[in-house]
Amino acid sequence: MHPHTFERLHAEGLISESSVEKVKAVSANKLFSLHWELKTVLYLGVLLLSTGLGILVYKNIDTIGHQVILLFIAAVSAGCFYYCNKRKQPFSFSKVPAPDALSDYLLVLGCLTFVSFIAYIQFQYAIFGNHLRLAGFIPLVVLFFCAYYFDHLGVLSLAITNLAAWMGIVVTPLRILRENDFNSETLIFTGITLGVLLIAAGELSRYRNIKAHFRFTYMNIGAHVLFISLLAGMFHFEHQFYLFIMALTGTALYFYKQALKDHSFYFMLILTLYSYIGLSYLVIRLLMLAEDIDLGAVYLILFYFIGSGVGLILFLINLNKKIKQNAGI
Amino acid sequence: MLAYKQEWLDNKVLHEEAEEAYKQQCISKEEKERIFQAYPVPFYTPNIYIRIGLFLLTVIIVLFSLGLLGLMFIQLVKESWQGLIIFFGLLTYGALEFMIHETKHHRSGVDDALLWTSISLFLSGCMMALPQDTPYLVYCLVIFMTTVYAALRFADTLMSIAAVIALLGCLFYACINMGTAGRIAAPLLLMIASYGIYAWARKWDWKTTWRHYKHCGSIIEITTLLTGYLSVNYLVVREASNEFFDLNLEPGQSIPAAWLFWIFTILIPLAYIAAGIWKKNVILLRTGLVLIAGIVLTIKQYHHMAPIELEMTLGGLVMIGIAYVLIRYLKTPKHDFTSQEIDNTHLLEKVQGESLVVSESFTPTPAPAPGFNFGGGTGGGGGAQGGW
Repeated sequence: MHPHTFERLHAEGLISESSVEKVKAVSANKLFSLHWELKTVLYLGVLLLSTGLGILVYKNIDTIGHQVILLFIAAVSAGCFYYCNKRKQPFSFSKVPAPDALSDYLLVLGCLTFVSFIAYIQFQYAIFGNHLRLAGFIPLVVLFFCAYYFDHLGVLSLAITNLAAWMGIVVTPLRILRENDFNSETLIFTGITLGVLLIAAGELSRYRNIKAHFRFTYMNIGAHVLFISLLAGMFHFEHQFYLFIMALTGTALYFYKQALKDHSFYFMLILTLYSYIGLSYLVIRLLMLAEDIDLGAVYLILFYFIGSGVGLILFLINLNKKIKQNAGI
Repeated sequence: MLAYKQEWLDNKVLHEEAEEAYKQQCISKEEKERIFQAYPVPFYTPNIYIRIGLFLLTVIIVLFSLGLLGLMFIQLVKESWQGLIIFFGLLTYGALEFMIHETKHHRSGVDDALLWTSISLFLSGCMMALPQDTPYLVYCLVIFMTTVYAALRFADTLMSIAAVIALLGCLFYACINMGTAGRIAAPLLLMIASYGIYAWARKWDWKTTWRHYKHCGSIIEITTLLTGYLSVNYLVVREASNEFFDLNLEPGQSIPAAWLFWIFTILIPLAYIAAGIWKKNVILLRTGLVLIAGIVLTIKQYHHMAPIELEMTLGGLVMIGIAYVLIRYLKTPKHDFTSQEIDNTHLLEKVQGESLVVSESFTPTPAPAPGFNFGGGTGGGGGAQGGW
């Protein structure tokens, strides 16, 4: 903010004298914020420390003995939880601000070490016997509990990715396509179930007003998992693919309505892109059926992509206008 | 020179200032609305997500149009197909000018995509049209001239970065051609040139005549700070000398005047940070912080200090310690510094980027399958990430 700009605006009668004074006062003691720099350093520190400790423990299992390591991991975890619990503000079903940046990260560290603790204890002593699902389930419950109890979005994402892993899917952004085998039918159906489950959880959060700000995280991961699973189903099932097209259309319509209601540009974008992939697949498939693959079909495909691209651009521009107008009301 | 209407660009800046003043509760909502009305911005600039969508779709359209055009005319042009690509690049450029002029697009995704595709098509057409034995210097010159034009015409940051790098590329290849003396001097000359451009960008008048290029100025600063460091970084210099000058260094062997490059490698990032804090310059400070990674990587490449896990643990502890102490110390602002957030509607916060980052880096591995073992820390998604 440059004071002279606002002085000019004042001279033109657009803003009042007192507003100019306020601008001057604010720009005079402008502080230099190191907030993001410090937070990044802190985050990297937690990342390095937890990774380093993990390897340290793994490499030295033989020399230091399991009990000592377990005790150490438990101590770190307990220490983190103790600190966070002491600093936290009273629980509420609405949004509770984090007490400070440090406990934000210590909570993540505490949760991670807790997950390691359970994994270690199961590996070494098999306390859950052959019930591996149970061994995975306990950290899951603890993670979800922590997410709600401490009101932490990062831990919620962690809980959701653990839930997905427990069900057998990798859902982190960079790995969802690389590390899942979407040719497996079980995986496709698991993905659909998980997606629906997460979306339902997101809707419930808002509907019952239980941590309503968690909705975005649920909906976001849910939407990607559901869309990708439906598309995978469409590509995989040669004969029943029309069922998946119907489901895809339904899902897209549902998100379209939601996005219009919430003025969410983000969901508009992802539903458009996923539907576009589905539509393009359908068109190419139909063209391949109609003619033997000759030059005519190739021309048609090229025309389809150019035409549909232009169409979608107009659609998005129109949507942008629509959401903006509604947002103004 | 600028394709976009200057008056509207000015108004856009005014809108941003008014928005900030409104957020800091200096002006009222009515006053903000009045400013918006008095200074209209008829540009078409959609929300960032719509922009991403428009960008992707425009790229799709351009690529498939190129395919269509190629299919139709390939019989006709045969050998001179490079000409077809250049022609298509120019055609895309025409579309870009049309979109900006007629439909008032400004940073809408459409103009970004058209600019980047038209320039890359044009340039790749030119590159392929040049004879095989053309010196690299000529390639760099062509890239430099094209991107400078694009940067001036559209005030585009990516084009500014490309122009700076192409210019330094010219210098590099010119040095190499000048024999042994040129080769030895190349890193130092590149560093001097980088800091020369940096000094120019710092002093240039981005406030009045060149005000619409302000963000290009900042990006040039970042680029030159990075290239200035990289051109004298020990790792880069050693490996590049090996590559370009056929030194055939064995592991453990070093380059002439290694000590000088080691000093630069370690001192430059620290100097950036110190200067950034001293001058309260965010660009210097953040670049310096990022380049700390450069120091660590370079040292680790040639010197084995301690087992990696010990380094990570200690490094992590030190970082948490420093951040903790500084956050506590600056909680109440001191010397005009604060650890508190000033503008809390940060874009990253809006998309909850942090929670995504957390889930990405601490990622669990699915399904404790039968025969599950605690394999190198990947099991259960605990402390260690996959790959260790």
